[in-house]
Amino acid sequence: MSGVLWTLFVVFSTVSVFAIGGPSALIPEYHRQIVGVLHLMDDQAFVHSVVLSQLAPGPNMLFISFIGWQVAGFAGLLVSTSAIIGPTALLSFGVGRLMEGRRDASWVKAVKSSLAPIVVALTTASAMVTARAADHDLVGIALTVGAAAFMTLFKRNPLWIIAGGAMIGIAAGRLGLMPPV
Amino acid sequence: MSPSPSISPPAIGKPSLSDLSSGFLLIGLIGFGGIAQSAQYVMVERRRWLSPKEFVELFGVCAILPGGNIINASVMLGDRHHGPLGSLVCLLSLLLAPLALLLVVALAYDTFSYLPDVRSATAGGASVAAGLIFGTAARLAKGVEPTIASIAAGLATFLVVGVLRLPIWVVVATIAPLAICWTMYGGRRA
Repeated sequence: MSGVLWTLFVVFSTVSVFAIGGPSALIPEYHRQIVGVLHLMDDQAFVHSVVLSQLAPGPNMLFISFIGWQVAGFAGLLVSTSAIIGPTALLSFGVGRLMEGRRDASWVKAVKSSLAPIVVALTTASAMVTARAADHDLVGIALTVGAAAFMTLFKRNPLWIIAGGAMIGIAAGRLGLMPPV
Repeated sequence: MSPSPSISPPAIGKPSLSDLSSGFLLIGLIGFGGIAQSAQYVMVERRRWLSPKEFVELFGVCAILPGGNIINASVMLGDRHHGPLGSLVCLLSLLLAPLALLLVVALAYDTFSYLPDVRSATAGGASVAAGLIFGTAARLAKGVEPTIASIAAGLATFLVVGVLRLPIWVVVATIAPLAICWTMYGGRRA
C-alpha cells in the first residue's frame, strides 16, 4: 500500500472508533488532521467534499469516501470507505450478538427502552442543525416545515418530496425569491 | 388477535437474504439528506421488518455505538437473520448505490454548478431534507412509551446536543447510564 493510502487508512480507522453519533460529528477532527496536520487537501477542497457528499443519497459518512477519492482516486475511495466502516462494523457485530443472545435479559430490555427517547432527541437536534445550515430565507423555512408535515402525515416515499423541493427551489430562484447559495 | 388499538403495523417474520439485500439497496438509493427517514420508511412502513418500537430500540443501540447508525443497524439486522453473511450482504447493498451516485454527483456538479437553476434546486432539496429529518423524529417518537423517565431523557439529550451543542459522548457518559439505571432500579418497569 502506498504512503498516502496507508495514511488515509490510519487516520480514518483510528478516528472512526470515536465517531459516536456518526462520522459527521467528527468533521472538525477530520478537518484538523487532513487539512491542518497532513496537508492532504486545502481548506476549500475539504468543505467542497462535505457539501457535495450531502447531495448524494446514503449514509452521510460518505464524505470520507469522497475525500479518499479526491486525495487518491478510486483506490483512495476504497481504502477510506473500508477504514471508516471496518472497525465500527465489527464492534456493532459483536454488540448485536451480545444483545440478541440475551434479548430477554432485563438489562438488555432496560438499555433498549432507555435509549429510545435519546434517539428521538438526537434526531430532532440533527434536524435543527441541518435546518439552520440549509434555510437562509422564508422559502427555505417553508420547505422545511412543509416537508416535516408531509413526512409526519403521509407514508410516501421521501424521494418525491425531495424532488418537489428541488422544483420549488428552481421556481423560487427564477422568480428571485430565493437567491442561489 | 387481541383488539389492540395500535395504529402501527406489526412486524412480519424473518426476511429472506434477497429481501434484506433489495431493502438495503432501496434505503441507500432514496436516503437523500440523511438516512434515518429512508431506513424508517423501508424497514417499518414498507417491508415491515421491524415494528416502530423495535426500530427505535435498534437505532438507540446503534446511536451510542461509534459509526453511522444505519451502518451499525445493517450489520446487526443482517446477522440477526442470516449470520455474518447477512451482515456483509446488508452492508454492501446499503453502500453500493450511494457510492456510485456520489461519484456521479461529484462529476455532474463540477460540470453544471455554474447554472443558477442547479444551485436553486440544491438549496430547495437541502431545506426539504431538513424537514424530513424533523418528520422522522416525530415518527420515531411514536415508538417510545411516554413515561416521565423517557420524556426527561429526551429533553435532557436535546438540551445537551441541540441547544448547548456539546458532543454526543457527553450524552453517552451521563444521560444514557442514568436513564438505564432509572429503568432498571427506579420506578416501575414497563
